[in-house]
Amino acid sequence: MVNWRPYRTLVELSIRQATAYRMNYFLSFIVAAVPLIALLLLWETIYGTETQLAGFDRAQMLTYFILTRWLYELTRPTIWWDITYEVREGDLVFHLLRPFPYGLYHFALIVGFNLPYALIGLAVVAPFAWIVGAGWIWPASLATWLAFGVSAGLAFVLGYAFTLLFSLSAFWLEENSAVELLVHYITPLAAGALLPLDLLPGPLAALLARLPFAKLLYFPAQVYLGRVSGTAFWTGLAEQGLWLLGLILVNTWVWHQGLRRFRAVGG
Amino acid sequence: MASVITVHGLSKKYRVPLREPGLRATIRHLLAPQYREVIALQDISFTLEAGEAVGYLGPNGAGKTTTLKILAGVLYPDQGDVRVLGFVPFEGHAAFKKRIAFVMGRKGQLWWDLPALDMFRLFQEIYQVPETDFRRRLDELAARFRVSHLLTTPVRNLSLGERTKMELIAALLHGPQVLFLDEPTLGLDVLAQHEIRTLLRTYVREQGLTLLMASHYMRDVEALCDRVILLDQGRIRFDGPLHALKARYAPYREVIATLASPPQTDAWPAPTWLVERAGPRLRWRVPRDEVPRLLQQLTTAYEVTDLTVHEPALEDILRQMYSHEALS
Repeated sequence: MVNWRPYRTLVELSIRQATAYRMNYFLSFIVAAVPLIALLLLWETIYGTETQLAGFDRAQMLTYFILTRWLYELTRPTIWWDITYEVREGDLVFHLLRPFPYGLYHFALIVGFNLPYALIGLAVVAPFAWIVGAGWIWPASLATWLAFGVSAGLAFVLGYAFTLLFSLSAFWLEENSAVELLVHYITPLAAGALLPLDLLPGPLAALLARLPFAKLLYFPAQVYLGRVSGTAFWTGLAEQGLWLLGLILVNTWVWHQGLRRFRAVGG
Repeated sequence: MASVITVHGLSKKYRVPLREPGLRATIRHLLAPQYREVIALQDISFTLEAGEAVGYLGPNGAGKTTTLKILAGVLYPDQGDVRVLGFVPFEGHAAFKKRIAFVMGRKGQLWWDLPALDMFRLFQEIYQVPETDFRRRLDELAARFRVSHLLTTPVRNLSLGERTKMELIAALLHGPQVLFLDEPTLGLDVLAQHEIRTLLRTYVREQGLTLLMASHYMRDVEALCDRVILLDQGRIRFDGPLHALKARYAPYREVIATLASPPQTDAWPAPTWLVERAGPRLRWRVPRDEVPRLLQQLTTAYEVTDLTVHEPALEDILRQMYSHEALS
């Protein structure tokens, strides 16, 4: 029987930890909104008198950016530093002593951190559509809502699996901030947070759409806007699921290899 | 009954990067890093019976922490057979993890921003400790360690001594049978050290825990342990009762006498053993079996106003041993 209680407690502790410094917590929402303001103003200017760009009308485009910004908060690598620190400084020892799986420990923590943050962030982010006067697009139907819910949920887990993978590079690199930086620069482009992939050159867009990055932000946003539906939706969802499965397998392998190294060299 | 801890022929090597100073060496290191091997443990064997409290001593880098980590299942041994409570530690069975605890004076597992109680609850759930056991242990430990009123204070607002106590409680809440301590009183002031070692002694004895403790503070060892294992450069130099260590490596006593009137001549009593003379105060380092004769000589021939006989401190013995005077 699975012992669920520690997971619930970990989520709760993670929320308590995140809100331990209230002022900082509130400030972080305001700060997160700053790049969004810049982005929306930029796209207002780009549209000018145009009505369509790469198949997006103005409202779709602004909604797309607000949405991907929000999805980013949901999937972002908050626990990267914790894992790296534990591996490098040897505090991983405490986890190895406890009868509890390491990957799921941090998953519970990221649930407690990213989910409430994204939910509260919703309240901060939503008014922006009205402020720029573009309106806000709601999903066309309940089915679209559900489809978006599923793809955003998968994106969240996928985001964690991805974060875990590059954090575990600390087993070999010890200092892995370069890896973090790489992810930091690649994700916005490859996931479609900088531009919708449709605006990129055809072959590049086609390639990026198939990579896991796009499944974090671009794909759920497309589903929300109703730009992906029917077979394309199911294919996309299957790809999302396959990437997740693949990453879980790779993570398991990397964890065991890393642990072998950690246990061999001392911590 | 089988021993609680069995270590047989344990060896462990580390590979550490060689980094020489200078820009040229830096570039060389970037292109072709070089490593050297450090032998942490070399063919170590010992056993611990249930309820034994053993001090694990040795200079820095002797391999103490490495041994503890291997026994706790956190490191792989290179060679040798290690069993704790019948388990092979690094296989990481949950049943094994639930029966041991490892406390490091240098590291803590409690989150800084949260009160210790939050973490204690988490550990209760992770280790699946029944509520009644949890309450009983927590109430008892917190009362004993006199931290009941601090359970809801964020850890960052506790003093180092209080934090150490919380770390110990966190490690004991699941009721381990084997306790590994690595420098548990590191950095504490004399009072806090004394308090923690007294608390530990009572707890370990009452609960019949098997204890292996690495420490640099000899008072920790003298207070908690009956037996010591002395490690030096990855090898065991001594394994036996504390008094046997003293008898073997410190077969002398220090005798200090203050005489009412110092003798006018240079005919001091037992001049061979005399090490210090300050006015009427004389100090000798005498082989143990010579002590009675010296005392007799002193009290019959002189008027003695003060007389003390010291057993050498464990610290002095070790200092001597670490500097390899006594080893050969």
